[in-house]
Amino acid sequence: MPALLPGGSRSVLFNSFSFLFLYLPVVLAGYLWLARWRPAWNVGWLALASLFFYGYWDSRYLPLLLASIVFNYWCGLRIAAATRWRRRWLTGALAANLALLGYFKYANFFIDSVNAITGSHAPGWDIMLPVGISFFTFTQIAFLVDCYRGLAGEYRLLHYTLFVSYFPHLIAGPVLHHKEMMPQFALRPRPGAADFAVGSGIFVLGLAKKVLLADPLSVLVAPVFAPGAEPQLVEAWIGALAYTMQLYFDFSGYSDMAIGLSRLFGVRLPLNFNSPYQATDIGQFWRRWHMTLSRFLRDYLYVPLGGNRHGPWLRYRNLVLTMLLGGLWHGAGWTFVVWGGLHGLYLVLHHGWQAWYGPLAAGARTWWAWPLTFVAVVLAWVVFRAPDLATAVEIWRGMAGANGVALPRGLAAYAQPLLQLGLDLQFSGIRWIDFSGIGVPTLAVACVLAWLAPNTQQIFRRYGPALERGAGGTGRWQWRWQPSRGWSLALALLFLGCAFSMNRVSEFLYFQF
Amino acid sequence: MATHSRMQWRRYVTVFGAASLTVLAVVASLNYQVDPYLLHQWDTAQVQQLRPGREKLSAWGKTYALARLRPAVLYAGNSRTELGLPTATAPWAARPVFNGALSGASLGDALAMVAHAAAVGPPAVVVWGIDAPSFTLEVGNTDFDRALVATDRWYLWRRKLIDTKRAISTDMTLDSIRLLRGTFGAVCHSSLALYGQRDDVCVRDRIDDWGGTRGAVLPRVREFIRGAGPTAAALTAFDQGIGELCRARVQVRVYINPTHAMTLDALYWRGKWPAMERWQRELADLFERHRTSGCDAAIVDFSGFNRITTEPVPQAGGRESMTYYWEPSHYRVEVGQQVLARLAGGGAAADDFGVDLVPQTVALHQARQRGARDRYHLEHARETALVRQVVEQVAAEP
Repeated sequence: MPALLPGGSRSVLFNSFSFLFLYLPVVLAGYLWLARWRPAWNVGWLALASLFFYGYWDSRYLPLLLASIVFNYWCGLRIAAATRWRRRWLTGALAANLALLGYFKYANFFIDSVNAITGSHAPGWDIMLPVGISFFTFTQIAFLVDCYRGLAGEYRLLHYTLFVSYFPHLIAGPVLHHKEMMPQFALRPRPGAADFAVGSGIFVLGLAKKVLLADPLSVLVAPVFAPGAEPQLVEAWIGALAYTMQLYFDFSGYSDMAIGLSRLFGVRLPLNFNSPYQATDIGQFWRRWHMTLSRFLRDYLYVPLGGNRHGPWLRYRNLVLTMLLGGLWHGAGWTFVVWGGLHGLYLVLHHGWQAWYGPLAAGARTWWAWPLTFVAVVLAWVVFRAPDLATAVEIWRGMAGANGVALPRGLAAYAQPLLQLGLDLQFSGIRWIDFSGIGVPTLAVACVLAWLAPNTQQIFRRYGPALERGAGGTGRWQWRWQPSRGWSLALALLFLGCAFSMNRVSEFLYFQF
Repeated sequence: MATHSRMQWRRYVTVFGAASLTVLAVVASLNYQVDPYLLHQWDTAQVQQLRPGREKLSAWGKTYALARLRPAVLYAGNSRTELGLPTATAPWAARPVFNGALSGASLGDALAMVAHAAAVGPPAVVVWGIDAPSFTLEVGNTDFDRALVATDRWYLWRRKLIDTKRAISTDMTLDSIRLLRGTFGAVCHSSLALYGQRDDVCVRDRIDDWGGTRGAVLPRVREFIRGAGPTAAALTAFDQGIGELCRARVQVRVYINPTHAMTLDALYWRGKWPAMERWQRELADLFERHRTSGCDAAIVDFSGFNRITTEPVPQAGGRESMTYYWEPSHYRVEVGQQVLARLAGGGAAADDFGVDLVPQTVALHQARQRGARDRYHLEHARETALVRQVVEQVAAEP
């Protein structure tokens, strides 16, 4: 009786038992068997497994993904082969991709915006966003543009299908580039314990980021960002900080899992995060946060717009345009546009400052550059997470103290020295933050790790964790993974800690983009 | 990349894999065997043992029990039905009866439970308790994982996997150890021991935590009006669900829960009365439509202001323990028996407790309720004042 069951969709998330104990072992076993007996079939096997991974989620969109792959592959061939009409082929193919993305992702945003401006009441369309459409569209746009530029090789359809649908990256990135991936797919598979050891280690660290850090922080975020919550100073800052950390550990955890999973099959993925909250200026932040998207936006949007080649003012315009479109890529809503605009403004201020005063000396950076950058990022995340602009403004007001400065009642007994100093403190209680729960201690741990600890690639740097060589340096703390018994038991313990906390599987925040 | 011997890499992988899988296997086996939450018990001795007052994961136990028992009569709904409708003294006692209602369940949860029962073996009769605030598709019972709903004949095999997965958890491990050490708690029987009906001893234990009926009155009224229902999406899903049951030739008896008069009065002061009346009219039309297409379906309204629901609460000079209610949100089995008798066709239709919702008389029924409500404000001034106080508090919440 399906009509009795409202809603619901299946999913094979990396942090689910069905993925870890069913899907992954089967795919891995098939891969190992084929690598030994039929190595030429491995690309087909991984492509099949990836399409199953996508189709299991919602089979209705599997034909869409397949059609997108075949269409773009065919367009790529035509663009590469054409002597005339190359530009028209490219324009047509890009228009088709953007139309697809526009229909699924932005049609209702457009209708809502027109309604808001004109006061009309046109009904929205009943459209469900296909998972990962932003990622597989961008991946293929890069391929088409490189075909036009003559930078793409001659790829086989099967390899191209695997490149687009490769399950570790399909749902939420990293945004892959064909020039990095195709040569790896063309290699004869040589599975070994080394790849498995490194891959599983990276995967477990990513899983721990998601399950042990990001998920427990959600309880601090939702109440503060609820419309009408009007958080006061402490609540607003804790809520904003919690979301800042939740998003980082959620998304970088997902990226680590993707990198680790891929490594199990001997394939290296590009880095996506490099301790972004340790950045000391906003330009550096964008070279460390969602690095593959930043790279895409730089190479396929900012540079074609003119980049920094036509003077400072056009450079600033290009920066703002790139960030506005980058914001819109994250979601069909004005909050994302404002978030992108804010970061565009930050980048303009940063470059303007550098042009005016010159780069800061290394010593000068140390005491205020990092906190300034971090606070700017936190303020921007507020509008990124808020359900609407009014709620974002309310939280910003709270962070500025405009909604009051109430403190926990329990602190009143310890506050006499401060009160004697004449400070006007109210101990009327915190409404939206549960200090007795696990959220606040988790936030403290998350902050320390994000600000001070080495990241995953720094921990695994001696074993080529990603495509980039020597990325990330060594970090402040000298944690160096090696295939020792101690590390093996430590990561097994971490994995068990995750497994015992996984019964309520939560989706990754970046799935919605 | 640093170089190590092949042996070193293999040893690393072996230690990681062996340590992880051994611990997982041992803990999963322990928890599966001990089964502290009765996830997969039905006719075992464990079901009859005394347990802690708070039942955990009851949706798991009930879906499993339903798959094993395949009752002829199913009760569906939320905790009001779970506490109030008796299984042992039901009019259909000659046939197996199971109370599949769940604490905190929304209409969406109840729909899923009915879908499960229909999939494992359609019951002959479904008795379904509803009320306006919980008439939504939101997840109300957060333990009711939809993977527990049967969709094919392999359900019991799939349950083994799902239950094993649930066994890999910290809370279950700690409770297994408590159970083995004898420190788990022994307050009352699991609802499975009473065919899904909540043990009165458990309920009394919970009420005592509130500070008795008196202490529970205002929190329960507050909780009642916070519900987001009734929603249009829920009505559509309910319509489809009733249609499915009709097509399967199931006798459908739906009733609006006889929550205390204070709860409906709170909806009135909260400004939700017009929405509730519209919902009642839509329900009357919905059932009329199904009846005309040959379905044996009926809906009876036990809510409002009648001889049962207007019982004085302790704060208004009533006794500390009410006759018909645990507290305003939950009625006792004595009321449930009258509800069942009425739904089975044996109760008195003439008095004011239980009014058939049919399009022809719904307007008259609602007019009478409005009159009864106004009289209630005059005759139960203390309750009315308490309700207004709660509504003002809720209105002040962000």
